Amino acid sequence: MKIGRNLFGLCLVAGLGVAVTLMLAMLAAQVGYAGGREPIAALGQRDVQHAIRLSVVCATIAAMLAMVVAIPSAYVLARYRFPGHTLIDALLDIPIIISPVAIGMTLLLMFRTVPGSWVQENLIQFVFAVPGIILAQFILALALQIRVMKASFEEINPRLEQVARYLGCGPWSAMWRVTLPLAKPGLIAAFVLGWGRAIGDYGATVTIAGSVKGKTDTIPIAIFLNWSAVRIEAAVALVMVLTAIALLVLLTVRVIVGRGTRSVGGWGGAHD
Amino acid sequence: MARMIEVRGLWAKYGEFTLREVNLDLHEGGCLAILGPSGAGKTLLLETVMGASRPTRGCVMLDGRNINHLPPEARQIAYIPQDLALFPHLSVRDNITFGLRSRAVRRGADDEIDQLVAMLGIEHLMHRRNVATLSGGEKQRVALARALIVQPRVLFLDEPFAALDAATRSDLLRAMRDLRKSMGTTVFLVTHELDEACFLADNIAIIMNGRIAISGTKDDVMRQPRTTSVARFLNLRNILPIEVFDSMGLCGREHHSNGVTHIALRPEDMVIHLLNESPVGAPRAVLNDLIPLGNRVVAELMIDDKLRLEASLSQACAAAIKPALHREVAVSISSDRVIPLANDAVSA
Repeated sequence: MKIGRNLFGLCLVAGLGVAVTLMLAMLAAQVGYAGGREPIAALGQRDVQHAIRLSVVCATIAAMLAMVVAIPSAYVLARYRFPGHTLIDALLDIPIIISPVAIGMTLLLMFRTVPGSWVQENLIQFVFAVPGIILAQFILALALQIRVMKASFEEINPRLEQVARYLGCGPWSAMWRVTLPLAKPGLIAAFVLGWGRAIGDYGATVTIAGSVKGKTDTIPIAIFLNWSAVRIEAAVALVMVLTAIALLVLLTVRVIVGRGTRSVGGWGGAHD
Repeated sequence: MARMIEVRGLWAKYGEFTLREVNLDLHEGGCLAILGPSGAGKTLLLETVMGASRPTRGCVMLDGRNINHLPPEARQIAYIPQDLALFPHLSVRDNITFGLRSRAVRRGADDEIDQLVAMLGIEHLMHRRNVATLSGGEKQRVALARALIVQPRVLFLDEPFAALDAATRSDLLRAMRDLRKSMGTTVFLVTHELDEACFLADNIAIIMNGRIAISGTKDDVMRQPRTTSVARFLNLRNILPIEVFDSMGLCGREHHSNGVTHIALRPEDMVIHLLNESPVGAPRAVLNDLIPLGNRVVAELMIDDKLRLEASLSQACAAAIKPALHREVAVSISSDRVIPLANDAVSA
């Protein structure tokens, strides 16, 4: 009995140990490269700063635009049952599963169709241009944001909105005064996760926007370009930036979700 | 008194369940209680009348106006669901004043709030920021204040006292009744508690399997439940097929009329006599048990080893017949206390 218990505990600790060691080894490798001095100096280089600026701007615009679409989409999926609900729900999850390269390729093919070409020629140039980066990141962020927001809306008792309506709120007002404040932790988590997903994308971005140095090189693309050109210190500098962003995003989400679970009005929470 | 709500030929559907041909009236300042067992369609009826569910046929009129297509916020009604649905992100004060802000009421609102919270005895809760920390009774009072502060034309209550302990429930029922009288609020109450309905309502409608089985003043419904299923729901004991009742010879055959298949005898209307004091011709029964139940005593009787009856006695009567326990006694009932019933299958 005792041996079995010890073995069980040992297996748990060993699993966690391998995972943590691997992550720490990867982080240590970044910091340890040339003592970390050269990569930090590389942060001052113009092309590295351009990559960081482009990534932050594109990811922020993409995540914000995606939220505008994700909130109503998630609300409809969380609140209503209609024919095709399951199909639509699954359809919107596709970008979470398939490779970002496939998404980028699909976008390229889309812009080869007649309406796609018309948009390219008459409205906005997406292919091999910055709007293409935003579009690719928008699609990746959107899927994640819908998922997070849907879970958040499902946590909110729909009777709260119903009662608000009878107390004189129209549908917009009930959404603004009841649903969105209660979904605030989910909203912030969805935005941060979507932003993180967007800023870290390589595959979809490089496929639709290319890897034009000084034009469409986001952080992940710049890492690849610098690595290919054996400018290791610049590549490592960008990897460190990306890692810091990832850590910040993940910690932020954990803090927000931790707060949210204490404050959201659950379905059965009204009685002692 | 003017009719506030008229429900005419209302049909509604929820999944496989259908609400059929409901007709109801609720007068201004009155209280109508919809009673029924679980799954009878009470909540669907409430939601359809207040507009949360669309009727498939028929209409709901408020002040003589068809409101079928009116959005919830335009109906000037308030709703307290079973779970109360207090807004967890708002303080007690913000919960109570939510409706005033929605309806942009400014003038004189502070006085009204003070007056209402004083009536409900929740002044001390107004500074509380987190409604989740309130007790069940406190939440209930806050929900009532939030609903009543907007002076709704009709207040809809969906089993709002169900989750409370007996003492808190009793306090709140009294508070609700006093508020209703002082504010003249019209109330549409859904409950499965008979005593709750009798305490608050003027009129009762009993719903069974999606149909209104009976409706009327609470005295009429209680006195004359009409069908066996309503009688059983109202917890009437001693429901007997009419042939059995005839064979007992308790009364004459004056209760026979078209459709009457059963009779009910209220335990409190039954009289038990010692054999040496029994009226002539009164049937005999064995007094099997005397069970104290609060300030009354339930006497269990058995006639001919097959028919069980219950009588509800005062403490004094029970003491008087106690010597006859496990022995024969005589049973009688006044003819005008016999309740004729139709079997539902026949009346439907």
